[in-house]
Amino acid sequence: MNTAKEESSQVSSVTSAPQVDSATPPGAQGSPVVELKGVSKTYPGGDVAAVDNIDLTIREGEFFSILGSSGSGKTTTLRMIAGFEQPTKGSVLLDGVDATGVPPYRRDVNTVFQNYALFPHMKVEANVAYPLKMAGTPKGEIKPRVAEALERVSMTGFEKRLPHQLSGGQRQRVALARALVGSPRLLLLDEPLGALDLKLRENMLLVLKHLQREVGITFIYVTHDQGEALAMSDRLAVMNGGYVEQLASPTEIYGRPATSFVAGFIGKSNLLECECGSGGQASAGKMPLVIAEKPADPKFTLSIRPETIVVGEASRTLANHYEAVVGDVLFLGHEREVMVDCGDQRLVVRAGQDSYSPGDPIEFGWGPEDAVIVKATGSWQQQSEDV
Amino acid sequence: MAAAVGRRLEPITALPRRIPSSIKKFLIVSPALLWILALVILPNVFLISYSLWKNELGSVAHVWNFNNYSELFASDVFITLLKRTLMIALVSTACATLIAYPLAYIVVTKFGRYKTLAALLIIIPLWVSYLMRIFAWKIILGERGVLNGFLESIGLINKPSTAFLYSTTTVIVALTYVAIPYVFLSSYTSLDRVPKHYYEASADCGASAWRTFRHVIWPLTRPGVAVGFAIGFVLTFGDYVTPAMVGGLSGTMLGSIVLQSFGTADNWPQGAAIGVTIIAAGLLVLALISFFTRLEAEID
Repeated sequence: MNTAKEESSQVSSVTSAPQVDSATPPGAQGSPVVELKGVSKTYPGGDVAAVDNIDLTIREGEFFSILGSSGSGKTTTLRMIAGFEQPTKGSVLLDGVDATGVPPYRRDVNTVFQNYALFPHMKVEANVAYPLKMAGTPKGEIKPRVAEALERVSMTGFEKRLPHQLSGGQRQRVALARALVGSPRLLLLDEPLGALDLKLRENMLLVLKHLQREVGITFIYVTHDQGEALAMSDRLAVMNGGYVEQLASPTEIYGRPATSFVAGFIGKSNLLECECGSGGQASAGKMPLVIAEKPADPKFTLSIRPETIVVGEASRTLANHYEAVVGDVLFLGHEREVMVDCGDQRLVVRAGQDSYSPGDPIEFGWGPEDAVIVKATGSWQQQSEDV
Repeated sequence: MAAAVGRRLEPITALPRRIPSSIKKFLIVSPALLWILALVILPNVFLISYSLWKNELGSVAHVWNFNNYSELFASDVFITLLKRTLMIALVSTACATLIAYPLAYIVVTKFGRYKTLAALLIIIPLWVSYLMRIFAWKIILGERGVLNGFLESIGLINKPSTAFLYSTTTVIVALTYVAIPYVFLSSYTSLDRVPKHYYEASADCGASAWRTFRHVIWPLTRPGVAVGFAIGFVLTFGDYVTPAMVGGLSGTMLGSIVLQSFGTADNWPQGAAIGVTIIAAGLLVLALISFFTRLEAEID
């Protein structure tokens, strides 16, 4: 089994021979570490594909996230990369070599499991030493490397504890140390923060981000939390119903969502069902619109982020300017979220510190370049479930 | 508002407090206590008392002494039987464990959703009367039995052998068979409790199936196997039906002479002393097993 690992690392050194300039943003030009080619997975007994014909390329040193709600296929995708599941169709390439059918223990990939999966009968040091022991690392080398890995995750001093004597956050750190100790080519994280409380989660986010920059290992991070995905990733794939809806950088995903699902799933968005009239004049119901790009279809969906909508007199100079009535107001502390009823449409705008009451008149508007035309997705019901 | 202030606040947990909690606790545990007292403690007190009383020509004299024990341990026959019984019980339980544990491992890891069905099929022999099952071995191993017929038909032997029945080996084979479902059940339960993600985490760390088994699965399931071994040992150590039916003279075990003492020999104190010795030996083995298979960890 060691030979297989050596082979794969040799291959990697060959493929990455033209050294990537360290100044280039990670993920932009690195050699591909993982490639999924036309991968589908249907579980035995299931009639719907959990993952449906997806193509993904994840590059060296990248912090890549797969974002989706439960049942979107994100965990299945991860498990196929780890080797726990085999694709029904398509192939998984690791470092350019077809790894379809290669068992997990022959892959230079480590996983941080959602429930940590620390071996309960082993002390922390034995848990962290386990991958090294399995790789046949010389005895004298194991101890310092375990100490180093534990120091990385600030768990020095816990070597002699058993997993059940640790808190959730500490177990998480040990699991991270165990996954990193063998310096794998690729680290897979399956909702690693899902079981932690909010404060710990924020702390662990920073630990992870810092760690990834420090060790330079490619991270694939699976989560249903859009905040985590946006904050951490160099690039992210938004999955829904087994498909990849969009694959882009966080800023692009947020600023230019490709589909109505992405627009609704990530952050808040006003989705307007629009139509192009015969004169080329677009409108959403009774709201006339000025749009920046010409829609491919006369019927289209427009996504406008609440924070790009200008409220008050300043909006008068904008191409899209409306006067409407305040419906509901949500006080969120740092700002107020105002639902406005404009003709037959209801929009969400952010009113900053200006106070509005239901029934007040309000004026608002946006520049045509801030509205994005998105492709329709079948799953409309998900848009309202704002995370 | 004034009305709300004036209202007396009732505690949210307004449970009737008629019975003091200590008595309540006692009432709750009393059925279990009664059970233990009537079916565990009292019989054993009787057994130990009998073993310390004196036998006078078939009737029991209530004179306290250790003679029953000193006579037993001075007797060559008893020592031989004790050794043989220990050997038979240990060997047959060990064989049963060697068969049942791998079987349970395969059922749990490879049978997927059919594992419950497979487990059921393996323990189904327990539904058949013990006597019938042992009798079946007589049919298999006897002079005109299935095994002899088979060996003859393939030409390996030319006249039926009597070697298969009425020997120590026969008793070991039959008792192995008796112990398998019990060891299986206990092994199966402990293996089934190991979550799938431990297998995956171990594979993920680069361990093959064998090394995963050796370093993760076996240490976690060893206590369960030990319990199965202990049950198997206790069952086979005290057994008297099997040696009586398939053991012959060289297959006699301690259980047979307990039966004799209480029956034909009409020497209850001696029988009780042997019984106590069997229990003590069983407890000793259990203590040893639990000492060597302790597990500090908890499976979450």
